[in-house]
Amino acid sequence: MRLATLLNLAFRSLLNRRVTGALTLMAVALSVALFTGVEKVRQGARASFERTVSGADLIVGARSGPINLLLYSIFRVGDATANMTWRSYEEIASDPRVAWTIPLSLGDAHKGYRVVGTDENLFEHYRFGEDQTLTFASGEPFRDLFDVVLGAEVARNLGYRIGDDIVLSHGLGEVSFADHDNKPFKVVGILEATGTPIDRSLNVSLPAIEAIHVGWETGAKTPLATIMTADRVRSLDLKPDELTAMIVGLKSRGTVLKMQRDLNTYREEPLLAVIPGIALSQLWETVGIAERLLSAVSACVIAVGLVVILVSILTTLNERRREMAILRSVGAAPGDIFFLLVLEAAVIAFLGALLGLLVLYAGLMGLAPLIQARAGVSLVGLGPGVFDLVVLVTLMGLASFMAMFPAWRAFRNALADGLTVRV
Amino acid sequence: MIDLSLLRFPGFAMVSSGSSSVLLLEEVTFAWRANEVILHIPYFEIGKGERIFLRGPSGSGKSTLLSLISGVLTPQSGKIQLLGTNMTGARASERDALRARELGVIFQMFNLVPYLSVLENVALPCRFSAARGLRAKQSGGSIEGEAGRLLARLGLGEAHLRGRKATDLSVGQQQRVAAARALIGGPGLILADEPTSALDTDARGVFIELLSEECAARGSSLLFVSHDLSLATHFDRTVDLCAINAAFSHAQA
Ligand SMILES: Nc1ncnc2c1ncn2[C@@H]1O[C@H](COP(=O)(O)OP(=O)(O)OP(=O)(O)O)[C@@H](O)[C@H]1O
Ligand SMILES: [Mg+2]
Repeated sequence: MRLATLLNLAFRSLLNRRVTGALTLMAVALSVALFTGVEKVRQGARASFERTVSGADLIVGARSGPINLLLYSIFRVGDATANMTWRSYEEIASDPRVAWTIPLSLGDAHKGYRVVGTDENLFEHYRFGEDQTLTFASGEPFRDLFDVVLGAEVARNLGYRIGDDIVLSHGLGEVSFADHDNKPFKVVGILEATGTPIDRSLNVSLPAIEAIHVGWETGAKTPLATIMTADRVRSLDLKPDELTAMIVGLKSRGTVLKMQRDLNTYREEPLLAVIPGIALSQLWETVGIAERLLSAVSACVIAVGLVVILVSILTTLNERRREMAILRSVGAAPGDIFFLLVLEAAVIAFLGALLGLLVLYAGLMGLAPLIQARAGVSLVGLGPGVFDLVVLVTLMGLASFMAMFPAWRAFRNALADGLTVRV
Repeated sequence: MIDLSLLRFPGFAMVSSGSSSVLLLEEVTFAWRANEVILHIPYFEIGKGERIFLRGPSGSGKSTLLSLISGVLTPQSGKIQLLGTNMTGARASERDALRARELGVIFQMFNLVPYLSVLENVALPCRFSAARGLRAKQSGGSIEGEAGRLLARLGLGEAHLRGRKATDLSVGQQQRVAAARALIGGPGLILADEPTSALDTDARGVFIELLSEECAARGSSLLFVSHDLSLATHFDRTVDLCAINAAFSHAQA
């Protein structure tokens, strides 16, 4: 009963201070929204980052840096400085320790999305998230030379459907000046969203990549490219000479280190083999500095929110001595006065945090598609969760703890003032 | 133990006979600052149902005495006994509980918690003492019912007044709300510290009459502090603080 009384008093006194109370709540709400928002996006980024590839034992490419290899092979960021030969690919693929391989040949772009040459192993063996395989939202894997399978985001943002004809362009820009317009591709499959860079790629067969480039070997359009129609291209030998990278799955995990060493000392050409998990965490380390800085800043914002609570209580302390004497006269103990102020801080923290989380989720719901499209950070699984509860409870705890300072002063006043406060 | 009834004024023997005193002070001393004893009261007693007018010049320690009686301050020495409980020997929490249960306090002004409604202000003591809440319920059906009844008795019967914020009332109305709060749950003793000094002469008389009637109706004793001697006629007995305060001569140099 005493608690209910004090809680009611704390609540009502807060309601009474409409303007300052609302401003305090707003400050707390904004700091909580910012902090939680940053943490959510951070966790989301990390989660979707770590979800990108799973179940693969090695990623192999021409020798460069491990992070570089990871970036262009898995995240499709940047370009390979060198390629690996098709012969090496075939040799590695036929190694008795190897269970499966996925070839990757990056190069062209289509309206800003990467075209990736690969084979049916991508659909069979690529794993992401919790060991999930790629599934088709509609259609099926490519079979013909000019078939293309779209990532979910490509299909959604460009409005493509099964059966659509599309033209693949040369170069990486959004608009290409040199469209390979004589080689139309047909959309045969659209993948389910994965929250990985696969969503943003157009997948074609390896020969298709060769076909696109017939007549472009020098990097500029030659007359050959114009006369080579789609039908003529079919009659050519389109076996690739080079690859950008390959993903390797081993029969036994135990052989991975030996295999990696063998590949890194490959005799035919300088290769680099990385273990995805290790490379991922190395990459995250580099990204992580910015990320930790962001965390630190948003934690500071929370601290500011707490100080605002403290100030809002401290400033009212003197003008409320009268009120405290009244409460004393009706039977409140000095401890009740102390507790009342601590409760007020907790109530402000609670309401502020609640408001902040509401603002955050309203904002996230509105912004999620934008963030997903622009940053590729999937906000899946960023709904309200235990983390929010932890933020809420922690904030209440910290606010209560800090409020002990004004509460202690009020406690002392209550003992010293007697019933009559001289103001 | 002394038979306290023998020590009372003969005229009030009827009122207090058969029951022990409501308040008893013995050799109480108090100093705000060390070695500056402003109160030394060898003996002071209030009988059950007694209404006492306590006068004294400004700064003589009247408000301080009320704080001592209410147990908010503790004397340096001596004994204060409220309704048979020795306050000076009791723990702070017991004094707080006793105050919630058995005391009603009215200040000169700013009596009300600004963010509570009139009705909630009146009901406040019942929130800090279950026993007092129970007594209010027995008398008015519910705490709110009793609060409403008291407000009506003090001329604040209009329903629309009860939900109002306390600070929206006039000073005279606020003092009556404070009186209702002091009276709710029939406490043993009501302490009023110049409750009428902010009122005009007519309102003063009305206020004191109402307060006295209600105290009489529920058997509460009343200790009414003022330096305005013209009010003394409304009371059973007048006490001059300077007369019962042995420290007076030193303090008022
Ligand atoms: N909180 C306090 N701290 C220190 N000294 C105090 C405090 N309250 C009162 N005093 C001192 O105690 C003495 C008595 O003050 P008190 O308020 O009890 O007088 P009073 O009789 O109620 O006067 P008034 O009629 O003006 O209200 C004064 O000298 C005053 O300065
Ligand atoms: Mg006074």
